[in-house]
Amino acid sequence: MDSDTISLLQYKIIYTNNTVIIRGTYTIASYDPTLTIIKCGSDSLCISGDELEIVLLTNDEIHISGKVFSIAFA
Amino acid sequence: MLWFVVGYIRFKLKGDNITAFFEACRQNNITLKNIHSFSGEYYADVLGTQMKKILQLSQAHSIDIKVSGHFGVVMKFFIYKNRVAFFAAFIIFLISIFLNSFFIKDVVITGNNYLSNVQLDSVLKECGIYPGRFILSVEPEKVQDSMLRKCSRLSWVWVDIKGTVARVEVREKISKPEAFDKNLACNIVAERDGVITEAISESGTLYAKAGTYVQKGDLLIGGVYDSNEYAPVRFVHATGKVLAKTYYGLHGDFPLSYTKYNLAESTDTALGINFCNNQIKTHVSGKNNMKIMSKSKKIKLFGKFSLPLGFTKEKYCEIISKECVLDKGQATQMALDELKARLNSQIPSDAKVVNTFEEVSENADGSFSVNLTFECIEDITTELPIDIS
Repeated sequence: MDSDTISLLQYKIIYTNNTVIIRGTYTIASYDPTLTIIKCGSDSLCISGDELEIVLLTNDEIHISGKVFSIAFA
Repeated sequence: MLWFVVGYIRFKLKGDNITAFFEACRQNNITLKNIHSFSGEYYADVLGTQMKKILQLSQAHSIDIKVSGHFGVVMKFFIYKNRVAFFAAFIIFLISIFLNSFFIKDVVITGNNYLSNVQLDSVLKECGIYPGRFILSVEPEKVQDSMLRKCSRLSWVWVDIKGTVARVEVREKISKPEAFDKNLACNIVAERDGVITEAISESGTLYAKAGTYVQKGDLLIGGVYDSNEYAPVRFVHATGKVLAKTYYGLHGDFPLSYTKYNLAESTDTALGINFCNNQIKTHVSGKNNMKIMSKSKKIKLFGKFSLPLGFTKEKYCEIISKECVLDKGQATQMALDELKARLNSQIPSDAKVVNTFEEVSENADGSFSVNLTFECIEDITTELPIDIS
C-alpha cells in the first residue's frame, strides 16, 4: 500500500511508509501496541498491527507507526 | 531540529489511565513524540518546557512518571551546569585550540647559503615573522618587500604560512668578483719568502733574478719607468710571472701509544615527549654515549595545525676506548701521514710540491718529534697599487 488518502469533513487519514497520519479533530479512545482506537467525530478508527508507536501527538495531528495490519472503521 | 536545540525529556509512564492521560495531553496542547510501550511500560518524549504540565496531568490521572533521559543541547547544558571542572577543561581545550591554530609556532628558512639562519631570523623578526605572532595579522607580501629592503644580500624572498609554520624561502645575490683595474698603476711584489727559479715580465721593469732569495713584500716587477731626456716618469700596470721555491713546514710530537675509539654494537633507545620545545626523556644518556639517531614527530590536528606536543626517539651507542701501542715504524708512518694531510690542506692550491723533507727524533719521555717540510714551486707574485698622489 503506497499511499491512501480518505478526505472527510472533520479529519483526514494518510497512510504512508507504515505510518498512519490523522489530521483534524480526534480523540484517543485506546492505545495499545497491537490495537489503537482513535475516535474521529462519529467514527472510530481501529488500527491493528504490531509494535505500534505514536510517533507524534499534537492537538490536531497524530502519527502512528509500526507494522500496520489493518485500518478499520467501526 | 527545534526539539534537538531546545531539548526534550524522555519519560516512563505507568498507570491504568494511559489513554486518558494522552488525551489530556492532546487537549492541553502538549506535543508528545515517540510514544511506545516496552515491557508493560510506556515511554514518550516531551519538550523540556512542557514537562511541568506533564507532571500536573500525571498527578490528575494517577500516572506514575519517571524521567529516563535528557536530550538536546539546552538540556545537556542544564544537566552539566554544575560540572565546573568539565566546563573549565572544555574552555581550556578551546583556548589551546585557538592558541595552537592562530599563532606562528615555527619558522623554517630554506635556500640560504651564505646568510646564517640566525641572521635571517633577526631580519624576519624585524619584519614581523617570529614564533608567537598572531597569524591573521601577518601579511606575507609586505614581509617579503620589507625583507628585501632590509637585507640587501637577498634577491628574492617567499613567505608561506602553512598551518602554524611560517616557511620562508630565500635566494641570495651572487656577489660579483672584485675586478682589479688593468689601467691602474701597480708593482708586483713577493707574496711570500722564496728562492726565485724563473722570472718573466710582460710589462714593467723586472727586478727579480733567478737564484736570488726574496722576502715577502720585496719588489719583483716595478710599475715605474724612470724619466729620461725623451720621456717623463711613466707608471704602468706591471704584469709578469715569478716562480720561486717556497718552503712549508709542520712539527708534531707523537706518543707511541694512542687511544682508539670504537662504537659498541649494542644500542640504547631513549623515548621522550616533547612539550613546548622541552624534552622529557625516558632515560639520560651517559658521558660515553654518542647519539647516532634522532627522530621527532609532532602531533598535528587535521594534518595541518601542529600541537606543542610531540614524541622523540633517540638511539645511543656506547663509545669504547682502547689503548693501542705501536712500534716506531708504524708510529712514524702514522705521524707523517697525519702531518702530510694537515700540510697539504695549508699550502696554496697553485703550489706544486717538488720535495719532501722528513726529520724524526726521539724525545726523552718516549714520544717522538716529527718535522715535515714541503719544498714547492709556485708563482709568488701579487699586485700592489702605486699611490701616485
